[in-house]
Amino acid sequence: MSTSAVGSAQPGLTARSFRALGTTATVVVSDPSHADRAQHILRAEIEAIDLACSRFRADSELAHLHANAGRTVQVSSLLFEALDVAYSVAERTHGAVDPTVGNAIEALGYDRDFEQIESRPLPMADLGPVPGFRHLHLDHKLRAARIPRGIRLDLGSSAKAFLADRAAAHVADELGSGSLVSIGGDVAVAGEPPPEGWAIGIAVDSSAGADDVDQVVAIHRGGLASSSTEVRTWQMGNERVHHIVDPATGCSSAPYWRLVSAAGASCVDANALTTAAVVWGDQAIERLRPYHQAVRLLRHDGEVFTLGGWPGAERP
Amino acid sequence: MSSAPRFNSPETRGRADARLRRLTRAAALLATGATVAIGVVVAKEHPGTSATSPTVPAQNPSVPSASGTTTPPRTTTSPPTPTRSLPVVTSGGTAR
Repeated sequence: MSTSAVGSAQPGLTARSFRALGTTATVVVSDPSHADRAQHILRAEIEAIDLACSRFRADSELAHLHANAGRTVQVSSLLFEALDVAYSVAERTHGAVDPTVGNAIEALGYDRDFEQIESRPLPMADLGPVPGFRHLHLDHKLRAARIPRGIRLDLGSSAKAFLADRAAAHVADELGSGSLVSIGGDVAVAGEPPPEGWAIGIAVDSSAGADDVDQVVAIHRGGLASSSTEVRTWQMGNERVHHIVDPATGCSSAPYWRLVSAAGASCVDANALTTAAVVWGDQAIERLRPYHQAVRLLRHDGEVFTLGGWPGAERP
Repeated sequence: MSSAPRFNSPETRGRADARLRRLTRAAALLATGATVAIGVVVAKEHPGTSATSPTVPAQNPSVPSASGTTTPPRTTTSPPTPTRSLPVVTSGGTAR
């Protein structure tokens, strides 16, 4: 765990960071006296989401749902909400971000916590297109879910963003303080922002320090997320693969974009577009236009494209 | 042998002129009434609009989804702004 006062131009902000979910979780508050409590809230939110949604825990609710595939299973309100968010994101991106990629991502070798993944000598298994999110049936009245036998879900894409939104709102509500939560670079803010907004660096790797970012932008509300094809990669046979699966092929998306970042009304909202843009590849710009959201895309050759009012100036 | 009607007599022209004035007044009254009626209907169905403001209402484009339903993709959020502040966190690919 690390504690730091952040940003000389943003006095009073205090950050707490610690390892969680195979990455770094950070909470920033505008009142330093709230830092301990904010960290406690974030840890509790992470534990709750992990217990509900983890693919890697035998005791998770998601594991229970997988074990009961083919049957209608009543689930906690938290897992139901996470499933509902995943379904909505899939609908909103027309299937580009699909929770039924569980088998595909495991066939690629991402079958344990990312910190434990090692390169595999085996070639990639070709599973073909994923079953599709409409196989996930949600009963809002019963708060129950059903998946057909053989389908496995991966909520990773939307669950981290969902967690960031929940935790930032929880901290702001309980402490009455402006708050920012980052889960491995997926950022949500809530409550009263600093006067100049929350300053967020943009870099291919979310572990980049303040001096190594490509650009710094400020948001006042909602969320900001990024997706990259260059981080969270591993070797599979002769191929370098990454964690964003194209539902149409069941394989890692082509690395057309090095990094896509987007702002949204929430972190879930932003994350949906960055993940979808990676999947859409060279079609992304045209497919992103109808959403009218601010997006920055860094192509494999280094060229930067911006949409929806994303500020153009890169850091010198 | 009966004589042909005299259309050009001063009496005939006078009657014709009077009939024409009555018809013109009636047409003008009818047109005014119709305009008022149209105005009332428009005001009822489109309150607040004006015939002199031909602006097209803003469209919220929808994209048809695979299921044939439409999903309005627009969200209400402001784009980020440039800042000279040091970043409090970095957004990028999820690092280990």
